[in-house]
Amino acid sequence: MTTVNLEHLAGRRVLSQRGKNVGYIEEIRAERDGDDFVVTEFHVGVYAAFERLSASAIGVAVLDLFRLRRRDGLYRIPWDKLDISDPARPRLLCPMTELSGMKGAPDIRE
Amino acid sequence: MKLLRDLLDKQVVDREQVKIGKVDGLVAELRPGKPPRIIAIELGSITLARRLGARPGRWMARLAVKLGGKQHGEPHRIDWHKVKDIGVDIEFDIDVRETSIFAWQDWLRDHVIGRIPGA
Repeated sequence: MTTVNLEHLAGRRVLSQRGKNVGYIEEIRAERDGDDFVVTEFHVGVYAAFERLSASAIGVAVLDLFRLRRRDGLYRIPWDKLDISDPARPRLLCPMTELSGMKGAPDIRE
Repeated sequence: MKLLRDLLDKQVVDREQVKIGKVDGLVAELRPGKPPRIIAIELGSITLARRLGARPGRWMARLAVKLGGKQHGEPHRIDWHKVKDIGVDIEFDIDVRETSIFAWQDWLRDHVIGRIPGA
């Protein structure tokens, strides 16, 4: 059984297939699948440092204060489009041209 | 559910509502052609040290083995299927007294605190 520690992905830089920086893993979304909880998507954006220090609420407030938050830079990448076998170096498994279809809007429910 | 926001660093309690520690790690199983599946959470200083880097994790593991023996060289893991409730705290259907999570605490109580006059 191959296992990974998901906390090691927090704040990690995501590279494209060509080695270009896509962003940083801000959040990992999971959903119930029968008796299991499975990872469904990775949120990749600009907050890496704040997320990693578990100060995301403070970090978001600071970014908003200086108008540095770019919500259009958030991507919701499905689980099968990101290779996390090496948590230190997550890599995109699809071309960057597909990212435009993964742009996420702020989740109003949250 | 957002794993980093709703699970990581959250308080863990057992079935008696005893505070066990915080969720320091989330273990997922990678399956070919299927989404990663959460199989366990990890608690303890070794997992926490590993979040700072591989080297701090190794140092902490070595220190734990030196002080407590080989059985303390790995992080404490609780199977995900034992989760009972996810809210402000994460409740697991276990009894902490049946695990080794409080081994250090018990040792300190028996060998240090218990010997202090009046304790």
